[in-house]
Amino acid sequence: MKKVLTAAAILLLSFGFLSASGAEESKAEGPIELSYWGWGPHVVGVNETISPAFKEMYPDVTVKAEALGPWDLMDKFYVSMVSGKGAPDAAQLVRRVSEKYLISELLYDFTGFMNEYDGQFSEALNRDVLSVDGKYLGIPLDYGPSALFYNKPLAEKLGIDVSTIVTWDDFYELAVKISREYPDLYIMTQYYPAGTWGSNYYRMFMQSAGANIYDAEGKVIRNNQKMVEVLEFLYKLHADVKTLNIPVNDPLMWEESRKNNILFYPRNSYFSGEMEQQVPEMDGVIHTIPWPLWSEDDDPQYTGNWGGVALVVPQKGPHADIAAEFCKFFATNVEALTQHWYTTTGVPSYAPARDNIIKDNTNETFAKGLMEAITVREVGPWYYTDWAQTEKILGDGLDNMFGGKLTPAEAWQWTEDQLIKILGR
Amino acid sequence: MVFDKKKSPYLFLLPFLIMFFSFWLWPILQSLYWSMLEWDGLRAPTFVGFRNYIKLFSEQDYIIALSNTVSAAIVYIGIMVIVALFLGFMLNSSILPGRAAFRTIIFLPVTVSLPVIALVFFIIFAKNNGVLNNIISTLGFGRSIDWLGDPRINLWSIVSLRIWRASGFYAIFILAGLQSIPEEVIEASIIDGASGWKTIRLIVLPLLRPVIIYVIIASSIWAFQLFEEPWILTRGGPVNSTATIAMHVYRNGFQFFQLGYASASAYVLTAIIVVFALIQLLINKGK
Repeated sequence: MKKVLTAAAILLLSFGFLSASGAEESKAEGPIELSYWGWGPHVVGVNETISPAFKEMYPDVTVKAEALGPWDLMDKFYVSMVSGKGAPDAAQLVRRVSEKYLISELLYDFTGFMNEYDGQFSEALNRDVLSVDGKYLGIPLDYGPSALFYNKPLAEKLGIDVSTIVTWDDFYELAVKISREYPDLYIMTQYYPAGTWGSNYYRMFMQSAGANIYDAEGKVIRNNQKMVEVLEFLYKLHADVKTLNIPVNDPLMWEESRKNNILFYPRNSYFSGEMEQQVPEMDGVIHTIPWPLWSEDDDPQYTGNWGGVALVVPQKGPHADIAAEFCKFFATNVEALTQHWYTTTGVPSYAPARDNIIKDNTNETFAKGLMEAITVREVGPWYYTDWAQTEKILGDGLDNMFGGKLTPAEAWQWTEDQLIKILGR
Repeated sequence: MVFDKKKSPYLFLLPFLIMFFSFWLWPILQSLYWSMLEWDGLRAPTFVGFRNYIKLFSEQDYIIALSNTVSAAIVYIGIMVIVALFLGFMLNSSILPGRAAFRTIIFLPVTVSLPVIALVFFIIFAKNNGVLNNIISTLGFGRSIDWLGDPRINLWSIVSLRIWRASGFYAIFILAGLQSIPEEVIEASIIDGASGWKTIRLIVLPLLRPVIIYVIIASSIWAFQLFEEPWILTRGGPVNSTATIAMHVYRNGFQFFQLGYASASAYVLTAIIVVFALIQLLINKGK
């Protein structure tokens, strides 16, 4: 018995030692290095431009940004929040799925800051996923409004005048005609609905039609005729137009783009930055026009939105206050956000920065005419309630429709039923 | 210094025991406990007993994922072992010229990174102008097949990718097993008048059985954890036709923040793998 107790005591001590060695370091004094997690070309911008600019205000503080893939980042951030270890001082999150982090004890409270800048950040972006019980637990950094990208030399070669595309019906008629005349050409990309990005692609169409899945109280909108109409259009497009069907950003898309085999890309502003990275040789080839309307009478004239980026600061970090200052600086610094626009083509949520880009637009984005194309439309209202699960269910519903198992009306009814059954909304 | 002969072995074992408890036993027990919680990892958990397990088997998505995982694993293991055996015999054959080069080429697929393989297989499986469909069209069968989009066949497209990727790797184990069989045994059977096929069936394969069992068990663990290929190629769709249990665990744990539920799902997967391995070991022992 004595031996067993001794062994147990040694093991307990060992666990104690292991736990203690992993404990958070105490608050450091002197020079501080803030860790920042981000993704894409945005990270280079933080290290090369934004961090040095912040250092001018806080000479003892250096911000070191680390690049991760967006979903890698989300996973690691979640693990760090659950375990209470290894979190960065600040991070960008995929805003549409950050709702579940809105816990006061978890994230830094930016309510004072957001109230101070009341009206400077678009209301449509604030209300969706960053506020809970009147508190703002993150800052909306940027967003990605939808636009219709196209291969200009290819369109010219085919004799297409893109200015005639005002509504989705115009687009459909043109797309069917070209599909018949050029059977080897992909008129547009269309993505597998299953999974995170696929559903979100189709959601842009829904949002631009002024449709919504949930109401402001988070209840599923029943007998949603607007949504059925959007699905009917998507189904028609899928059935009658030659599309490249792949997961979002699949390498095959870049391959076909290089070969000038894709005419249109209904995407969001970030797509320009992605293309610059993936197919730099297409510089000057890709142009944009505004996202088509659902009717010429649309008022307001909506576009969709990919979702955007939120800046958050873990509440318990050793440098939470200074990390919060960095986020405030970044999210409201016109110069930094202008730079951010040209590297990521994420539209700043901070209105003065957006206005500055519009005013001084040098048209230097990879996809030409992008800022003009997105600013003529307003981002439609959207409620990202339980979005991670909703996205999955929505994807299954769309799969059922594209696979021919259900008609668009049945597919939407199925989706509604599943949302109510699984999420209880 | 005088060591107590009875106690000192425990001292030497201590580093191992610490690692064993910290990184092996503790996580297993911890996740078993988690599987009985309703917990998002961020707020206080609620103990729900076996409710997560009951919920699992009433969730349609989970049943589909379970069925996909088991059927894909069985088909994968069955075909892969036959292909690996064939390749192993081929590489062991003295009549094959350039065996060293073949060995390297056959082993290569497992060393190539998955995103690269995914791109190659997208090109092969593409509905429009894909390599497979072009071959089918050249042979005079006009209709193009949606290898990754048709729910009736896409799981098998993914399984075929896996078989291609893993066969060469396991063929090396078979080859090592074949080379460890003493030549005298083979020679004796030939002298006794056994034909080539009889020698393989009655001498080589029985001697190779421990290696084959190892290949089946090792590959089955990987087979039941099917995740990366369907995640990259189809994200589990359409309509869950390529969804797997590992994907269910990931989705519920990391995307839906249902750690307790995901732990229960992972435990069922572990139980399946353990039962499958035990059955194989018992079969082997029985023989």
